[in-house]
This record gives sequence, structure tokens and C-alpha cells, in this order.
Amino acid sequence: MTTLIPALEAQLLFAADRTTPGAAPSPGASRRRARWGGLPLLAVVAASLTVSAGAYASRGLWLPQLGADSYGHAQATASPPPGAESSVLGVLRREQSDADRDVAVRAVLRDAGPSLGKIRTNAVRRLGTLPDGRVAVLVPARVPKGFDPTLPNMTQDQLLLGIYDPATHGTGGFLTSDALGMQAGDLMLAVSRRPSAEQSALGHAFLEREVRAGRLEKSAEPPYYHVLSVEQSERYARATGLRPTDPDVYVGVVPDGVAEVRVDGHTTVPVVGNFFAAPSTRGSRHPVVWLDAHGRTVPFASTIGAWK
Amino acid sequence: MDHPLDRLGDAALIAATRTDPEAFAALYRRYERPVLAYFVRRVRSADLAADLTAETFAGALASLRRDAGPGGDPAAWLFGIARIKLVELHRRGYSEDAARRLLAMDPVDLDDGQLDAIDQLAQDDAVEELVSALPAPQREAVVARILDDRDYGAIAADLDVSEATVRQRVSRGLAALRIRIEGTR
Repeated sequence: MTTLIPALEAQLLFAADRTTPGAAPSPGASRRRARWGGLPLLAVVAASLTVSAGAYASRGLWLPQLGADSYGHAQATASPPPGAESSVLGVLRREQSDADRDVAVRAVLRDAGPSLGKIRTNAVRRLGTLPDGRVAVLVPARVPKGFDPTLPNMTQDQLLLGIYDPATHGTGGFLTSDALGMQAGDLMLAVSRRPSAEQSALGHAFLEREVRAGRLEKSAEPPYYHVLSVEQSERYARATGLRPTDPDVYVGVVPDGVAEVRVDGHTTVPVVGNFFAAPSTRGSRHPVVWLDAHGRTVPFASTIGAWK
Repeated sequence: MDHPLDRLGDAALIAATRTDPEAFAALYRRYERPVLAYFVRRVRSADLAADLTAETFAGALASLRRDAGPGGDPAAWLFGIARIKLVELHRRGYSEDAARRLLAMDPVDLDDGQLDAIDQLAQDDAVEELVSALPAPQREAVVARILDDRDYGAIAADLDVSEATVRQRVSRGLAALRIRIEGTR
């Protein structure tokens, strides 16, 4: 059912959530919502993981509301993430917690329209909370074949990074193909390979001209999509109802083994649960560097600078 | 595709609101148009109707959280709250926002398209047509209880039936209306 006043529906949902016994608190009220599939977003600095103790491993398929009648619904699927994802992302190997199903996560999932195909709802994870309260959510999906015609060989297994802003209830997100297909005009993208012996052999530095020539398509095969980093633009903020940010934030999902991320030659931020958030690197001439627990550089294929 | 909650009956949906916040959103989806129509036909202002609708649902949520949910038919309970909001409007001269403040809800901004859509509900005779299409016993009970705001006891006395029978007719009539309203979308 499509409502005439979706903002009221959203406000009531959040009010119900706040007042449901045992539900996580969620301040504010809803005004605008954005849909998946467009550009990235984001906010501020440093991440902190918030996970509660409850787990859902034995409770069957989680059926949150996916999408809405006004723009359609993705489907929930019980299929687990492929090994290419779970083998390098510890956050996917832990059990789903209460926090992974909280109001922020469900707000993000209400943007999951039919174009995303199937959402692995039991593998959805709340990645962390930014200092200003925004929440990052990892949404594993199995997108339809031909999802992105510009990337015909793109894997159907996609990881979506969603953001929820509790102050405005704006939500937004994007998935790897948005970045790989260059549908996002303002994003900074780091395409990784899992640190491994074979990586050095396969190591390939994608340059911007290669991306524009479509060669980045190669990186759409697993396990090359295990990092994704986004910078928010004011244009995107306006489009989604999210607060504009200054400075921008640089967030990403990185594989196991990366303990810190150095973003501008000297600023280092911790990685918690495969997730980091750092000050923007826009304008910086320094590449993003991954560091292991001993401060050693973890190699990855390439970092591609922001472009307009 | 409907959310699974959208397929629950009213009573089950109300019960689900105790543990699942999505259930209350589903209740809103189900009754948004009927409640908006109820108000806009009476106050002739889309803005005010939306305001009263928001306060009605906020009041319903607050009641549920106080364990003061419907004792009988959920639709009758919801429209009962709507009636109270309307009475308060006439008494005070403005739409109160106590329930929304209690729940820390913000005013809702509506665009022109939404206002037009709400206005259209007032011009749409479909609801009255649907009511008139109900079987006579249900129609009488629904009109007396929902539209005329009469007590069950008084209606029962007029119709010379038990109060339980009136409640049953109202409940069945509202259920039938809901199904038909959804069928018209």
C-alpha cells in the first residue's frame, strides 16, 4: 500500500520503534527519504562499532520491510553471502545481533527497491556509528543479471553500503556497481584485492583512464569489491535529505587484516569490524594506505582519486 | 508486494505492535486514507486533515504503549480516537499536538501534490458509495457508530439488538469497507 503521507508513516515507525520495549532508541523524526541506486553520501569522522549481545542465528529468515509500495520491493533471501565475501569480511562471519536489526538498519532497508533483486537479510550488518550519529550499514545483495549493462561481467553478489541519518531520517546508499560503473560522480573509490600471495602476482593499478575505458570491469569479479569508499557531495546531500557535511568523510569497508587506514599521509584511523571512517582526502595528493596490526602496509590494487 | 504484516487481520496487527514497530506502520498504511477522508470531509482543509490524522495515529500509538489499545474492533477504536480529535478541534479551535509531542514527532510538511490528493478524498464519493453498499444491518451500525458517534448501548436500544450484536456488525462492516477500499486503489 502506498501512503499519501510517507513522512508521517516514517515518523510513526520511528516513534513506534523508540517506544517498543527493548528497541534501540532513535531520536528525531522523518522528513525525507532517498532511494538506493544513486550516489553516495556521508558524514564526519571516526567510527565506533555498536553491537549488542543478542543473536539471531537460529531464528530463520529475517523479514524486515524491504522497499516500499511506491517504488517496489527487493526480496529477502536466506542464501548466505558467498565465500568470496565472508572469507574476507569478519563482520559477515559473526552472528547477527539486535543492533544489526535496529531502526537505523531498517530505515536503510526500506530503500531497497526491486532493482536490487534479493537482499541477504540475515547477513545485514550495522557497521558503525559516526561521531555525529549517522549509521553505516552493510547490505549483502544478489542483484539481477544485467543489473548494470555497462558491466556485463559484474558479479551478482554485491555489497551495499547504506547510510542512515537519525537527525533527518535521510537514508541513502550505493553499491559497488555504482562506483564501478561510475554512476556516482563524486565518489572516491578504492578497489581492493584480498591481501594474499596471488595478489602481488595479479596486482594491477587501475588508473582513472582505465576506469573510463571500462577496464575496471575486471575488478567486478570477486574478491575485488571488498572495499568501497565514498565521499559525500553537497549535491547528493540535497538530493537525499541528508545533512551536507563539511568536511566530507571518507568511509570504507576493508578486508580482514587491515587494522588502520591512513588517509592523507599522516592521519590514521582505526578499522573496527571491517569499517572505517576518516576525514576527507579530497584534494590530498597522498594515496590511502591500509595498515595491518603491526603498522605494515597492506597492499591493494589501486586507489583512484576523486573525480568530477 | 505487500509486507507480510499487511496481510494480518486488524486484531493480529494490533497485537504485533507490542513487539514489532513495523506493525504500527502497517496499521497506518491500512487506515491512512480512511482516516484522512474522515477528517477532510469534516474540516475541508487538507492541511488540517493531515494534522488531525497525524495526531490520531500518534494518539493511537501512545494508547497502545499505555496498554490502552482497542478492547474490541481496532477500526472502531481508531475512529473513536479520530472523533475525539475532531471534538477537541471544535472545542479548542485548533488541532492539538499533545500525542505527537509526547512521541517527539515533528510537524509534517506537505507538498502541493499531497494536499491535492488529500483534497481529492473529500471530493471522492467512493467511501460513501462503499458504505451504502454494505448490508443494511452493517450499514446502520457503521453509520450510527462511526459517522454519528453514538454509543453502542444507544444503538443497540434503537435497533433492538444486543450491544454485542452492534459491535459485531460494526466490526464486520468496517472490515468489509477496508477490503473494498483497498480493492479500489
